[in-house]
Amino acid sequence: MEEKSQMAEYEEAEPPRSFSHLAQEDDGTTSVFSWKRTFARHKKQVLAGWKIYRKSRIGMAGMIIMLSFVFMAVFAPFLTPYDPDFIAPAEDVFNADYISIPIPEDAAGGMAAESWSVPMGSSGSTEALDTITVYSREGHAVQFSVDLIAAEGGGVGIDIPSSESYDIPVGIDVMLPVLFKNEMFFAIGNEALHELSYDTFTTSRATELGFEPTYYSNLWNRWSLTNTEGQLFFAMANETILSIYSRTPDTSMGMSTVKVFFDKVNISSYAETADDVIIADPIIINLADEENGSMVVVPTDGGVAAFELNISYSGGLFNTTDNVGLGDMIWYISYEDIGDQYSRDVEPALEQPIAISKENPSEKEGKNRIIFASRDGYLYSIFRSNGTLEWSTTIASTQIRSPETMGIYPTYRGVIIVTGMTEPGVGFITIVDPENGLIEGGGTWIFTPDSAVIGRPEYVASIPAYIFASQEGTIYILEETMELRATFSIPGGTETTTSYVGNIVNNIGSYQGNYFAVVTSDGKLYAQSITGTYVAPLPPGTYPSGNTYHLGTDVFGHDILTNLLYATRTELVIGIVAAVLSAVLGTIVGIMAGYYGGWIDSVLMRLTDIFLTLPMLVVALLFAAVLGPSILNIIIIIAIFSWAGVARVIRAQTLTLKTRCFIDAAKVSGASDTTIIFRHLAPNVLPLTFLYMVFIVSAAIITEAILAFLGMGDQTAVTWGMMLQYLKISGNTLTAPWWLLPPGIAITMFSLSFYMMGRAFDEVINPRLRSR
Amino acid sequence: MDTKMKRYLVGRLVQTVIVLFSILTITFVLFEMLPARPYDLLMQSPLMKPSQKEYMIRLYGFDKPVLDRYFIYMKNMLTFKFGNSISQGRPVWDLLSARIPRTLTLFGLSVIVSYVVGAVVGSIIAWRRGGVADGTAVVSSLVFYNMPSFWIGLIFLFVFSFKLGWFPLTAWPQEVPYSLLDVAHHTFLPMITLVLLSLAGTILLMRTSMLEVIGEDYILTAVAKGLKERTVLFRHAARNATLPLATSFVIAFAFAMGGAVVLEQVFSFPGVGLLYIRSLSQLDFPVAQATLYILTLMVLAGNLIADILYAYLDPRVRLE
Repeated sequence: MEEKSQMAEYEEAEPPRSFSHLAQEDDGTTSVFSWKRTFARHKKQVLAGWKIYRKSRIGMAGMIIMLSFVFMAVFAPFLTPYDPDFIAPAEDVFNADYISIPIPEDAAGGMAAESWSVPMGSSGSTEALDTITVYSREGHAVQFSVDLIAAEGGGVGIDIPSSESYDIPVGIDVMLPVLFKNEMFFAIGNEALHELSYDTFTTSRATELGFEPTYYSNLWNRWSLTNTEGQLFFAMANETILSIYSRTPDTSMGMSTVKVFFDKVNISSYAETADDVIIADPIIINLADEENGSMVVVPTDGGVAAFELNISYSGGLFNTTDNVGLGDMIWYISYEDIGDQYSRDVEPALEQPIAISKENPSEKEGKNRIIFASRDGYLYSIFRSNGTLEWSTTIASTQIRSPETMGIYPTYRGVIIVTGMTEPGVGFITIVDPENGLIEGGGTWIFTPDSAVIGRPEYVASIPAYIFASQEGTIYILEETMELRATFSIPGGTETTTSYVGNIVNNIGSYQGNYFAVVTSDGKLYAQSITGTYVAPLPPGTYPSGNTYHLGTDVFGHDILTNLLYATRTELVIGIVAAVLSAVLGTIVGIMAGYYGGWIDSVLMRLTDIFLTLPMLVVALLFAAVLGPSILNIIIIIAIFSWAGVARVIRAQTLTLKTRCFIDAAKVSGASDTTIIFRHLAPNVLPLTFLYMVFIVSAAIITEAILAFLGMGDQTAVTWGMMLQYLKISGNTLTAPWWLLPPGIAITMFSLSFYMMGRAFDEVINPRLRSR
Repeated sequence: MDTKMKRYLVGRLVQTVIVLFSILTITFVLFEMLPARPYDLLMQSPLMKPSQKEYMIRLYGFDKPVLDRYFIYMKNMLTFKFGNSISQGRPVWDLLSARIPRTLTLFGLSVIVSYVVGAVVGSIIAWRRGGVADGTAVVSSLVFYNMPSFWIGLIFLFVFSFKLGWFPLTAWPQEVPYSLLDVAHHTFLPMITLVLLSLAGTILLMRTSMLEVIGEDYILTAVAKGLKERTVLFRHAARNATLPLATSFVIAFAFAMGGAVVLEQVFSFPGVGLLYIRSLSQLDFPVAQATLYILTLMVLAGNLIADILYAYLDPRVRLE
């Protein structure tokens, strides 16, 4: 009884669909199956159907809209003004000063063709940006002199009136970004440490190291990073050798001279690290006047080791007559020890696995722990004093899925930045609390750049903001809460994976403009102020670069019209694939249940009930959290939640068809179940399947948009839903109607077109709906 | 109540329980499959010693085999013992108690209003088929029916709250002692959005259903008898046409619940749906499981009520 009422229910909810008027001539007369006849009959059916369909205004309107979307999808490259990954140039989206100047060709050797390293800036006596330097391993350095000029809008701009080329030692790998008021800076190369004078790039002092360092530590300086008066030291390392270099002003002779000391140890001479290889930069922790306070911590492929720093102090300053040397190993913790507690395999993050929780070396606070990152997204805090585990945590969540951690960096604020890649191939940047490893902002301070972040992030205290560069060459300026402040692609730099970023003015609260500089792939020095105003999303119009954005841009500088048109492709794929999948599944289930009856029917229909009754979106969200955000998974989710309705209707239709003479005839003539299902039942329920498929396309697009809007969308794909999701998370919902309206209108029109076609088609196969 | 009716209702109740069990099982499996466990969240407290962590794991039962956990989960859900929120450290009921009535009101009211209004509008426009009112209603219903719920919510927020300033930007009063008027003022926008979205579907369905009924002979008879148009429309046609409408409740409830969850997010309406989405991203299993269960219960309870209603409306159910 219950069964029957449900059937009746559905037949009434969706009025009975009989299309016998189209296939009447076959009733009871067909006994032998023939493809030719079937084809002819279907052709006739389709033509007859089309005649009815054509009369429906709604149906024709829907078809025209649908066809124009298909047209847009196919011809998107010709219709759109820009490439799909186009980003508006900085001059359009950023009201700030920038300069782009070619690196001059040297008469001696074609310098512009060389591979240039990170540009470095230096401030002059006024603390303002004075020069920018680029250098290459081939032994050349170019110094650009910088003039500060008044920029538009009252800001500070820069001008580069001249440049000077110098020869530097060949084969220099690392120029420590440490420079002292136009005095000197460090460079490492050819197994030596060079102190180069800043004016002429001549070596004022070279210290033989006896090994070629590949890693170097943070610099400890008694005063500040811009003062040569204080004592300073830093550590260097290669695979097995750890060394320390100290430089102290020696006032014992009554005049100012400089005393330099160099010390190194081989880690393979220690039992714990006998077979280990150093894998990343060492870290210096110096806590003056504290017992067991000063050490060098270095990550190896077997664990983390700490070596004592021998410093003697008198009156808060370290004794300038003594040298800073490397002492014994204080502690060593292997990855087995770290992982043992939770029986995890610990594999260190590749480039930068450890950090201390305060970057500024002269501050004591927050240096009681070292934070270690494993590649699979776990963080471990190790007590500095004895190397035991303090806490462990994971950064994996539904927002950061299967993370591959690539770097962990301290900040001046004391929090820790963790960067890396996530499953769908996008990057992630997040800020964690060193006290417990939790992601700050209640787990929300996460930013997902287009690809993995390269190098260390720069912090600009005066804004305050962080600057990141991604592998694909995009610069991101993020607020401290990881909200996007500005983003731009490096002009001409996206062709290569290299995108070197240097923060030009000293980054501890500089008051004159903050610039980043890059060497672009076409051999230019490009410097851009980051203290300007980021104006994207841009309203429709024409902008300084001469580009016209007909529908404006989004917050990333993507042209909305371009995205809108390219998204049509994704939407068509999602809609049609999901619809075909669920219609096929629903039809098979429906025919099986209807034809076989009995327990098969009961089981399948109970299953159908469950899927019809459950609050689809609520469960779909959980599904999306499990499967992860990708187009394929979204299609699967839509299909899983749409087949049940089709199954219901097809079953009812099968039940009526089953009692018809032609099925009996087929049975009498000895046709198998398979033949009856595929040759006799399936072709007859096909129009219904098709009808539901059309409706599902319409629903699928809306579901995709909702999933995207609730944060479960595919970040690597351009869809209308994702466009609106970015609008929401960038906080421009109420300020950028040019961005809010087009995707929504597109979703509505797309969904509407299929829905209208479905209604018209419904009239074709259901004559009772036609106007009388 | 006759026995047939009783049997029908008992059958429905049994079916609802089966569906509830299946949904709970499905969600349990899905929660097991999530990429991270609240387990990992527990480990994050720096003050917790390993022994305490093990204690916490035991407390939340993660040391037990999956099957045991399943039975505990089912027992807890069916007895409404939701435990404590992992991220907020408060009993889940504390979080839910204020939110359930809000979501229930948003969801229930929009379903009821949209059905009552939808049935009336649908039958009138079907009766005057082809007129201006019909065309306007059909086209606007079609458009509303195919709009993504969150987008229309955003548009309303933009126009009525931001540009015109008629309604506040938040969907719930901020000051603690709030009057009913305050609440109505704040919740009007999400409510009207959900009503409009549900209304569109109802109007379209009612119109289709009416068109079929109008074609029946008894309508012709009624008109031929010289009955008033009004009487024929509401007494003879609309009454019969509402039957399929009642059966579509199943889909409508699920649809409205989805809409409520999304709109709670759009309008920051502090309801169960908003809590659900937040707890899901924070991996707060007890809260996510409880909220999902509550949302499912609301939909199933709605369906059950619709079934009873249907049995009253359609005597065939009782007589068969």
